[in-house]
Amino acid sequence: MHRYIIKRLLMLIPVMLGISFILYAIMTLTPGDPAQLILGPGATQEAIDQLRAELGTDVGFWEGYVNWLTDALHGEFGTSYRSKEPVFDEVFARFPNTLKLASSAIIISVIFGLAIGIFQAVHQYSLADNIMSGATLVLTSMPDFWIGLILIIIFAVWLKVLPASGANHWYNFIMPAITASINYTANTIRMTRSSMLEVIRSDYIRTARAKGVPERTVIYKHALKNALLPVVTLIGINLGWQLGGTIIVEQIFAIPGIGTLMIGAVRGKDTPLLMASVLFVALLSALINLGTDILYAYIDPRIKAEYSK
Amino acid sequence: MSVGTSAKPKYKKRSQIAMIWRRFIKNRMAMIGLILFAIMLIIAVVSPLFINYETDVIQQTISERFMSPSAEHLFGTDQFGRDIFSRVLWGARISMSVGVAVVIISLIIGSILGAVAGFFGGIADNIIMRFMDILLAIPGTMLAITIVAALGGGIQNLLLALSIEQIPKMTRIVRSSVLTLKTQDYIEAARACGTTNARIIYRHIIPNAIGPILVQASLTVARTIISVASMSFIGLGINPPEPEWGAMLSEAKNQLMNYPYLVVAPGVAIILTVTSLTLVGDGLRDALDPKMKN
Amino acid sequence: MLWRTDDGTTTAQSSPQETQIDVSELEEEHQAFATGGSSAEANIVMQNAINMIGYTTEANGKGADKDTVRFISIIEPTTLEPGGTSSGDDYYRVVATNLYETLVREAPTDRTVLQPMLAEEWEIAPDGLSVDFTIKSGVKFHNGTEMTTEDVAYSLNRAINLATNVDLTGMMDRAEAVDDSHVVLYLKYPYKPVVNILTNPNFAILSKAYVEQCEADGTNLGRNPMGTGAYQFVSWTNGANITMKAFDQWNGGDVAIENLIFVFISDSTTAGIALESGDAQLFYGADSADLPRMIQNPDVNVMSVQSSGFYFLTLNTEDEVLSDERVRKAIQMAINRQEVIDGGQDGLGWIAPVPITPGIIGYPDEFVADPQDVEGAKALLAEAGYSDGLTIQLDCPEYNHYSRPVQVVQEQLRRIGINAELNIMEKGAFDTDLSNRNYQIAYTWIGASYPDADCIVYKLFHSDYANTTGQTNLANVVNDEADRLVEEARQSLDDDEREALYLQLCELNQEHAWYIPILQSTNTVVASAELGGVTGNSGSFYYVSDYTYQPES
Repeated sequence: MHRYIIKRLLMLIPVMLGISFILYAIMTLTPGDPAQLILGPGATQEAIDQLRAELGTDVGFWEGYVNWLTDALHGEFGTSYRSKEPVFDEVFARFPNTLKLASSAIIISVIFGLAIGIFQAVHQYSLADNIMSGATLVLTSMPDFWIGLILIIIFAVWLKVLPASGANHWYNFIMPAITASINYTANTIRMTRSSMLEVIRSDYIRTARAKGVPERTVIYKHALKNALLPVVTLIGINLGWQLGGTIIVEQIFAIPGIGTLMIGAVRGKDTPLLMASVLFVALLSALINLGTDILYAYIDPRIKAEYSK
Repeated sequence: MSVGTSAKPKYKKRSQIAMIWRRFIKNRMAMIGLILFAIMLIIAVVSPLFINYETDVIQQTISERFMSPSAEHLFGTDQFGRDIFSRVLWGARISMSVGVAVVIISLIIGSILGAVAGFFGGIADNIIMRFMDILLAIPGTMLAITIVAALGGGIQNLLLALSIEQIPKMTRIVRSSVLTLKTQDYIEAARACGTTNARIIYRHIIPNAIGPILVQASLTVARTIISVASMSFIGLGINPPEPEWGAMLSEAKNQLMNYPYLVVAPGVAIILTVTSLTLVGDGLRDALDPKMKN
Repeated sequence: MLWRTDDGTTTAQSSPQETQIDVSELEEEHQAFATGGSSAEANIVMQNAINMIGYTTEANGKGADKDTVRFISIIEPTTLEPGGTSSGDDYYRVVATNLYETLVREAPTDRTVLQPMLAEEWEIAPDGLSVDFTIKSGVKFHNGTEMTTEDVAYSLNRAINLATNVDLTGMMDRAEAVDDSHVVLYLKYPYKPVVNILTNPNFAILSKAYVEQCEADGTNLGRNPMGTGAYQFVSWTNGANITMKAFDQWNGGDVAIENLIFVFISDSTTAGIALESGDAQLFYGADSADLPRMIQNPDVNVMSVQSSGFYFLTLNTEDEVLSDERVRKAIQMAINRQEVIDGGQDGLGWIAPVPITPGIIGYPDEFVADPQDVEGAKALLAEAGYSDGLTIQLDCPEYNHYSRPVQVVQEQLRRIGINAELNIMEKGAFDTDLSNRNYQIAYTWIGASYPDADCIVYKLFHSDYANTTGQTNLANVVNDEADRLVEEARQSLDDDEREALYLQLCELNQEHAWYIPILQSTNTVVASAELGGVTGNSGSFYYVSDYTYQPES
């Protein structure tokens, strides 16, 4: 198991290097110049050259990347071209908002996903099951920004009970969290339902029933425990994915998170800031995925045995 | 990507595909999805017969801005006085063609990479899959947004960005299909007969991997339609005056306080299309998976 | 300013009839401006009309903290270091105006009038080569130290040498503190509007000791600003807000608003909702789509004045297709400016027939724009050999206030058979392309840094600036007559003569269709009705120290 974890951690190194290279290439080989952007349209060539030298963007692609990499390996990720703040100061200032949004979205999706999924599995083919399946399906098909717009219209414009923007109070996160959670809730419902159904049909549950174990105990003690396994993975993947996937929700509700920071960095041609924010989120989500796999192994001894081979 | 074509395969495995098709049509939800999708597809294909792109879709009539829904303008008019009904219908052409184009691009590249990785294994497999890991490790839509924001909007850049996002998934699916098929007897037999690798991949492996690929394809079209809309929504999508649904929603957002109903039509169009594709994809997966034969 | 549920006092349509009348009046005003009447007058009428609507109903007393103002801006400044960003960065300006002071300021209602700020008075030397400023005494910096003439000279020299200011500082040589109360600014050549330039917040007065200390210990001045303004910096929550509090030793006396919080909400629709629900009191950067509704809302006042610049199409004359004057003329004839304003700006804005901002020195009132002529445009295109149509690239930056009007332009071009492919570009890429003349047609904006026509047209038309990176002769105009006109106008000291020369220049521009001015936008701040003293300002100088909460009735 330890060897497996170490191997996975080591594998992250080339992945992160690869990501940094791709991002650097996208940022520097595409049109647009940070110096020009900072100085505005009236900037003279001398002024642009001077600022380029200050920013260190006056070197070629390879030299620039090697410079960045050398600094990064020394733990220096640089300062933002625009704000001149150390990039990780900016990332960590924004990250709590994204984390709040992503984790509350996950909590919502877990609570509703499990409850509804289990209910549906237990009452398979009932009217309620069919209606919920239909509703779930429609929910997975809704673009999250559209849900956000509808929520704003209803709760901020018509009822005026929730703010449409900001990130100062817990209630600022209600609508964004619901918006961000919808697709994941629907996925969790579907996953829980099918996983429960599979377990319920399995031999040992049939045996338990045959032995006269009460239905309630069968469902909640025996079936649920096993059905949760794939759901745990899904939650882990969702959380990792959410950290980078709340960009559009952050945009709609004007939440100062990593997503808005990243979009600002791309548009402002702020290479160091973009690299830091994306690498941070990528690393974090990779670690979450690894954590999920480890957790999974602990829950399911069969898998642990496999890793230990 | 219509399922109808898979019902009449050119391959010898007719009986198996016929069986899958029989299972598929027995699935009520899948059939609803298929019919719905067929309707959307027909709308997309025949809309030029009754809608004139020049005069109905993009022509502005500034004096008729924001007209309420009426017999003449079923869904009203937008900020430039254009008929929203015509634009939503025409939007089906754009969303569907972008969705299908992304699937085709990612499918071609993904199949080649996946087949090579799975079939040859070793260094090729390692290099290809590590590269895919890198692409997959950038979470959410960050990669696509970075690419489009850096390169600028427009259809080519959008196709490029979304395809790059989908290629790793396609590669993985094809690779794992190839890995399971590779060890099977008939492949071994073909190889023993001296069949070339390329021929084995082309004649035996790809046709047999078609099931999971089709499932992934229908889901990818669905996801891509949402991605395109999301990108357009944040101003990184298809350029005006094309009536892309996400772009229409982005315009509607500016009028949220004044004309909230503008968000309805394009939103419902997205939901219908994506739902139908999801149903088809789910149905296909169930039909392919013998375990679900209940 | 906590969020609370609707307490029943919000925007209930007070009297629809009355509002209706007001709005129709407003529309009439628009028509009046549209015909190109005296704009300064129109400007005032427009503002009166808007103010009237705002003040017809009384403030409803919403908002709990009467000593705090929350000021929404849709874009967060990247830095608060004077000169850390381009001199035209309005989003820096909105914040910095309250934090720093300059030697002089523009009068709130008329930007051609200068008012003393840190300089009590100033005198331009007879040879025009230096300006002598008498500096106010007893001015304190936020850290309690007293401002000296050394600080003033240091700040001016710093600004003169910064790359971000090169477009403004070409005529400036150096500043010197001559004694305890006088600073002299030396010029390279006489330039009368030089004092106007010093109103730009990039010329804010800083403490020399503080800046040097920051440089020594690596403190980021842009995130730890310190000046002499009415408000002193408290904190900056990245991506969310900048908090300031009233500076108790401010040289301007006491202020009514104790706490000033700039809130950054990037989405203008949600920002508008925040303002209208009483979550904030000021809003800079409202989308034109929201303004007609806000004008009707009795809880908020829309303060709109003509902005200091205008939007225009620039046609790259070095381009193969556009080097043909007939094509350019056809494009000019295709444009219907009122339609662009109605469709792209929700009817808010004024027709801009000439490449000069109204209300500044040198604006040619008598200019008559050619009317739209679709058939004539088609005929010209056919004559130029494009009877089967023509595809052309039309570029604009990604913001709504560019991308929406330009869609109407795109449609108007389509009507004469030009397929304009719209490229909505990231601002930096757009600026780079324009700077390098790597475009065919672009829809962009230019503003008057100070109220004199020369500051716009000289660089737009003089051949010295054609094909030069960073210079604004975007269309690459190379024309002897244009050179002569801008040079003569620059040297002339007679305003009437200058106006006549500029009129000729504008007619020349129309004849050759280099630039097609489209519309004059509004510069708008939306204020809660309970906040008094707020006025529109074309230069985006919003001094919160001037504002007070209206006494509750």
